[in-house]
Amino acid sequence: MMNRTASMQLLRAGLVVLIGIGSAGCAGPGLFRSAESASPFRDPGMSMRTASDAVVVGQSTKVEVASVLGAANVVRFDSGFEVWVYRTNASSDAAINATNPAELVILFAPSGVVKKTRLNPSM
Amino acid sequence: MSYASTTAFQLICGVARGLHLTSPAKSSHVSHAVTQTAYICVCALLGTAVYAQENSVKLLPSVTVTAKANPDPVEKSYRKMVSGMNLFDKLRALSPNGELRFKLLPRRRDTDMKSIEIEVLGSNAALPVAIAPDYTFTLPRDKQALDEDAQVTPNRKAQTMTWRTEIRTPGLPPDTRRLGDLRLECQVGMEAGLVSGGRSFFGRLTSAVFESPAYCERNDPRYLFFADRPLFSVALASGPRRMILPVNKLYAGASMDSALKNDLPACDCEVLVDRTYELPLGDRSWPDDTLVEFEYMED
Repeated sequence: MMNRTASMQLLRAGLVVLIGIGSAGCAGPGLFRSAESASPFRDPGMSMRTASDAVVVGQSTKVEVASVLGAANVVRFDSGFEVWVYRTNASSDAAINATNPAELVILFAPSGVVKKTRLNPSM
Repeated sequence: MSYASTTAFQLICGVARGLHLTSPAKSSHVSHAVTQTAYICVCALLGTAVYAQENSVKLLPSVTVTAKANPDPVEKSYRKMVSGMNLFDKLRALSPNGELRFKLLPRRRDTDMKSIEIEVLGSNAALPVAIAPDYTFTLPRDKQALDEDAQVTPNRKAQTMTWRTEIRTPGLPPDTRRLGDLRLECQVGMEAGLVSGGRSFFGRLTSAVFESPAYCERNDPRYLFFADRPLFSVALASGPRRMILPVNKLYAGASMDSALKNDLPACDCEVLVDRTYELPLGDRSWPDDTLVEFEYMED
């Protein structure tokens, strides 16, 4: 059976490892990817403008948009309309309070086809 | 005296008499007479007090039982709504040409908005209120209704409707509102106590000041406005400056809150989410003449 001293040493070693891992995450690229650099798109290198150009009003469907851009934050309404939002830093608290975050908003009609899009801010 | 008062009086005197009868047997004649006189005086005084209290109760004004115990009644306090009207007069500079109206909005999918009737009801006052086809109305100023703490009462059950102020400057371009009008809408709406469910819905973000007009002066108050139709975009425009509001300022923040659906029953926006928007009311870099431009889903 492990004695008390050995247990304490093991606990200290574990803490050192955890602190090291946490520091690496805070420093930037490492074990934890920073939310600041999170891309909302399937292809992390895709820009907002490129993504917007890939969506055709009156033609693109939900399946097509999802396959090209990836998963979006979706707001569904009783009317059948859906709003899809691709937002940079989507998971950060800063985005919630941001007055002008970069975002691509796509409105799908009840038919499932894109009715409108907008880039915010305009690019 | 009523039966209850008489019974209370008899009980009090009975106790006093009991105390008298249990006095020491060795009391002298004089002390016995004094005690008996004191007993009679106590009974007389108590009787007078009970009778006087009963008479004073009769002089109080009659009480109207309302649904005040309900934390979220569909009816609203007439006094508070008039207080909102007074604030509108006081802050007129925000909307020099605007007209104040109150507006009814559905809160449930099955709310029937046809044939709504509203009365201002006090213990005696009963004032009918005319409702326009767009469900807006104005309130008369009535001293008796104020004195009686009347309620503005629609013929609808609680939780079926919600209320807002509506302040519109005439002659604006189509699909626009004026920011100063909306600033005043928020302040008057808070003062009038019209927003229901806001504190519980936004409790995690705001505090008790949510229901104060001062709340509207914050940069990003979570005061929910409702557009005439489902929204796709809202922009602010002042001269050459233009800013589209981020989507988290639409739809009650639904794009950022995956748990919103569960919280909706606590929000008076439940069936109006696609018409909901919030504004940076306290950001004075946008003047009162700023136009709020709407782009609707169906356009």
